[in-house]
Amino acid sequence: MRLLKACFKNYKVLDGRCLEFGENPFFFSAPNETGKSSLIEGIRDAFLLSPDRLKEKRTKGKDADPVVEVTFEIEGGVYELRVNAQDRTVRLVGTDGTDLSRPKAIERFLERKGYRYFPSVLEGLLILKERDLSTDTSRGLKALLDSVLKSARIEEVKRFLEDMLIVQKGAPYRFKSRVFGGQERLLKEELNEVRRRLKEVLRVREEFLENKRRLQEVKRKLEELLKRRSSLERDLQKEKRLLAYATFKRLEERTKALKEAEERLKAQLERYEADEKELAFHKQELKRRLERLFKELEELNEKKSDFKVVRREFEEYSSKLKVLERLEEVEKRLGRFCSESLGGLEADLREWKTYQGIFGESRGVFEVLEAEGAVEVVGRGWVRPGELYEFEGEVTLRYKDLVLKVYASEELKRIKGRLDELKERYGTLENLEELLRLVATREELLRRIGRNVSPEAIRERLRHLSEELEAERKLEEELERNRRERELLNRRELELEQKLEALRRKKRSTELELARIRDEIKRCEDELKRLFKEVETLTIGEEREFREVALQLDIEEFGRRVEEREAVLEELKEKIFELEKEKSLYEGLTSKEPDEGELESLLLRRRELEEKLSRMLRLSEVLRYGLRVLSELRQEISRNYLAKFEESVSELFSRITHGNYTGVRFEAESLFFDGSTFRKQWRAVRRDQRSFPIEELSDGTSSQLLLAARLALVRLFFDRKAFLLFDEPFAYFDEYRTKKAVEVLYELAEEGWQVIVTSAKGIPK
Amino acid sequence: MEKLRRVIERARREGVRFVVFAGDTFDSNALPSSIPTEFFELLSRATDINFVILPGGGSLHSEEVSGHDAYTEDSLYRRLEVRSFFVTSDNLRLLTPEEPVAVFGSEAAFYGGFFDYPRVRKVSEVRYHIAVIHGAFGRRSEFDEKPLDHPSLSFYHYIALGHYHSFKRVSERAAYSGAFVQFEFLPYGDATSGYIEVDLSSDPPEITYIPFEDAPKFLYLKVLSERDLEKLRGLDFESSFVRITEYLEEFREDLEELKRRYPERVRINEGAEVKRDSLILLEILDEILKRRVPEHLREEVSEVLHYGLRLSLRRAEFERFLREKYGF
Repeated sequence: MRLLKACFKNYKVLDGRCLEFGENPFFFSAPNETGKSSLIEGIRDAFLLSPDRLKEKRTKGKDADPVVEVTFEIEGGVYELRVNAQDRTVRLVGTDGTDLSRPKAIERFLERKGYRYFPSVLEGLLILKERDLSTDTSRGLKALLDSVLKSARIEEVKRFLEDMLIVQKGAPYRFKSRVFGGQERLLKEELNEVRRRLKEVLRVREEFLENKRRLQEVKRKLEELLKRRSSLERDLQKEKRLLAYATFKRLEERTKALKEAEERLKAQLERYEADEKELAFHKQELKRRLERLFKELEELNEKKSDFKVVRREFEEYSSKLKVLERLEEVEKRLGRFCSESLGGLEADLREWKTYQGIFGESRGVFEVLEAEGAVEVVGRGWVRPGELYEFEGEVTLRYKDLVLKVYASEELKRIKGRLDELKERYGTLENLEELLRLVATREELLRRIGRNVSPEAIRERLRHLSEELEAERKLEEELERNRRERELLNRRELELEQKLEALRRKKRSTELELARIRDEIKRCEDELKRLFKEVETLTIGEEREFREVALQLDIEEFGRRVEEREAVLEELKEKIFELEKEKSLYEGLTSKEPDEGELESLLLRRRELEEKLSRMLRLSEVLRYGLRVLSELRQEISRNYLAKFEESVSELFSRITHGNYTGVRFEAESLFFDGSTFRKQWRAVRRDQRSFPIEELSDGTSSQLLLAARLALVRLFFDRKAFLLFDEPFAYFDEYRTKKAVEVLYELAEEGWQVIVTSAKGIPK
Repeated sequence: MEKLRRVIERARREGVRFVVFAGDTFDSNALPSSIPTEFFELLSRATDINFVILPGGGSLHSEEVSGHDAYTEDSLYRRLEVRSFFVTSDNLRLLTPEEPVAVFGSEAAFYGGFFDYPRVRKVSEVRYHIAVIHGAFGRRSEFDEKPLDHPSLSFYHYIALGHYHSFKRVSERAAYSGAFVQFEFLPYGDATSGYIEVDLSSDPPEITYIPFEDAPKFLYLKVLSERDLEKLRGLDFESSFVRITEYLEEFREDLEELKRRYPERVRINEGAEVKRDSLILLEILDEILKRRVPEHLREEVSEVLHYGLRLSLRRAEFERFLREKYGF
């Protein structure tokens, strides 16, 4: 962009002036107060696109507001920008047909042409004031960076926030847990105290409200119960009177019925007494008859004892007769041995058994020495020649027609003879033993009855005794009859006794019933007397009303109902009593209203404190985020601009110094330097590759570096060249430095920058 | 209350079955009881509408400051006179962590979520399932928002959200209704008043925001161009409250003039004045603010930084500004 012309109407001291910028550099030399600074200010105001802002710059003594026109060229196109405070319009007209009248559209036009943020960059970078090139390098750069990137301000605010928030610097940050320390603590303490008090007040209030609610509830219940009690009492009163009336009437009837029953029972009792007398008489009669039978029995028993001797004798003779008969039978069996003595038979038996034993124990043996065929042992077998045969006692041998009897010894032949005799006399040994038993029996029987007893005499005596015993049998029959009669009389007596007992029980029961009835009559009469007092108070109407009802009334059921209702009434009274106690309790508890004023003021205070604390906590949150944003802002700016800036400064610095310096080097990864960092971390690199801290550069080189830095910053936003407005750049320069600086301006012009310089001093050529 | 009365009357006319308050119904637990009592009396009288109320609360600093009507130990919902409404009125149901579900016959069940998804079992044989959740939900995890595509939310026919004080539709089934009536500037964005209507008969539900045109609007404005200034001048200052967050230095006089004319309506942030040469920086700064600072703090962080950058070399003044702004 190249400025061609600037015209001013009513603008400060430049009213009616028009300046054309034909040369480059363009030097506007004039004494002070002739509009040099106003020229630069006017050009800047034109690009701010704000007619209102022009108003305050009206030329003194003029009635009309200012109008500024700036003509410039971009890529061959010529554009005229007119800012008119009189009609508050802005207009940009170009030879390419551009015609814009809105500030935003004009800004966008400039952006499209490669001049992004033009008004800002113009203000911050393109206008150089008198000190901008003369100040020391580090301060100048710092101011320069701050003017566009606000780096110093960001650093300052960041440091301020860090001081407030951070316990320990360095990454990662450690934030203070309580940013506002003691103040926050005091606030929280007060808040806790208010909350504690509030809790207490609310608790008291809640208790009061709860008690009040309960009081209302109790009152409501009490009222309800009192109504129920009155109603119940009224109903109960009437029911009780009805019950009394009905009971009275019923008792009257009952008493009457009881008296009738009493009469009946009395008659019944008399009947029982008559029956009892009659039964007692019969009983007496039976006793008498029994006594007679006992007397008769006594006599019969006496007679019976006389027959005992006869019976004993009869039994004795009967027994004897049986022995005799047994004796006859034994003797019959003994037959021819009847006269044998027991001793003779026993001697024979002993002899027989002895011989038999000897015979059995004697052994003999023979041997057939020679024979034709076998020798027969009769009844036992055969023995062949050469064989031995052993035998007991004796053996009979047969060989052909020869028969031999062989004994084991000679003694045996003698014994054999005696044995044969005994066998011939008794047959067998068993017969002899039987005979011995029979003889012993005969001897025993004879010992029992004597040897001279006659069976006939015994039988005769027995016949006589049997006749006597017949009389005894008849006596027995008499006794049996007596016994049966007694049994009968005893049974009848027992029956009579039972009847009498039953009758007595009935009589006792009747007597008891009679007593009970009499008691009941007494009670009824007493109750009637008592009820009469109530009944006589009934009105005629009541009596009429009750009369019919009483007839139908189930008094017991009704009485139970009345009792139940009385119990309900009692229960009700108890409840009323309890509720009245509760009521007085709650009345006491609610007699004093809680202090609403205190509650309100505590709530208000709590709210104030909470809001204050909330704001405090919120602020610490805001500051934490603020710090993060600033940190990111630094990083973003460094990331976006640092490398480009270094490269750009190096190139421009090299060109401006004609290669004496090849560039600059940043030794920190940030554009955010404090003073010392500027001095230490930014170095200028000379042609011989030696580098120097920028503070050591000569004044001229320092100005060149500042200029290079400024142009580099412009490059960050523009990709084209523009105009530079120098307002008294040499005010503090000596002649040498001014000359050097002018050389730089010429070099800039040669580079393609448009340079416009205002100065009160002469410009060295 | 007048607006609430109007909305309830309309709801009754149109046979609305449920009205949901998703938290921050009251702006503090330290309110006198007369305020919630009046509110609940109004609701309890509308017996043909069911009201579901969820306590609210701020997610920040919850330990020291309950924030709005959080269900803390000293919550106003626990006060006897407030509690009694929920005991005696069948049409009022309070969702709390202890009783997070309200079932209305076979018609609908409401499930409360407290800065989290509802952690409750689904009620069977109910036509509509509605989650009522208070907290930050959405897609911006960098601002600790929980996502709404969580599987546990899939069975809800609608998710009624509360926390952000401006209307915001978060998904086709979920929306923040925003503040019913605004009484102050929001910490982010413009503050409008209104409520939302949800028609569950269509799938997905039809969600309509109904703004109150006659309610005050609390607007943030930047005046960085003539056009911005014109827009500001054209506002209806009867119902608008404006806070100027940034303005170019050349508009200072105009804004001061407006402020003189509407002292109650126009407020200019400290540090709002911007020099033209700062625009480059501010552009970058605004980008970072949008990217890094949660909505509810953004305007404050911005204001503090603007002011700080303006007064960077005068620490004491900056500190004074902070103390005055935050009132301690």
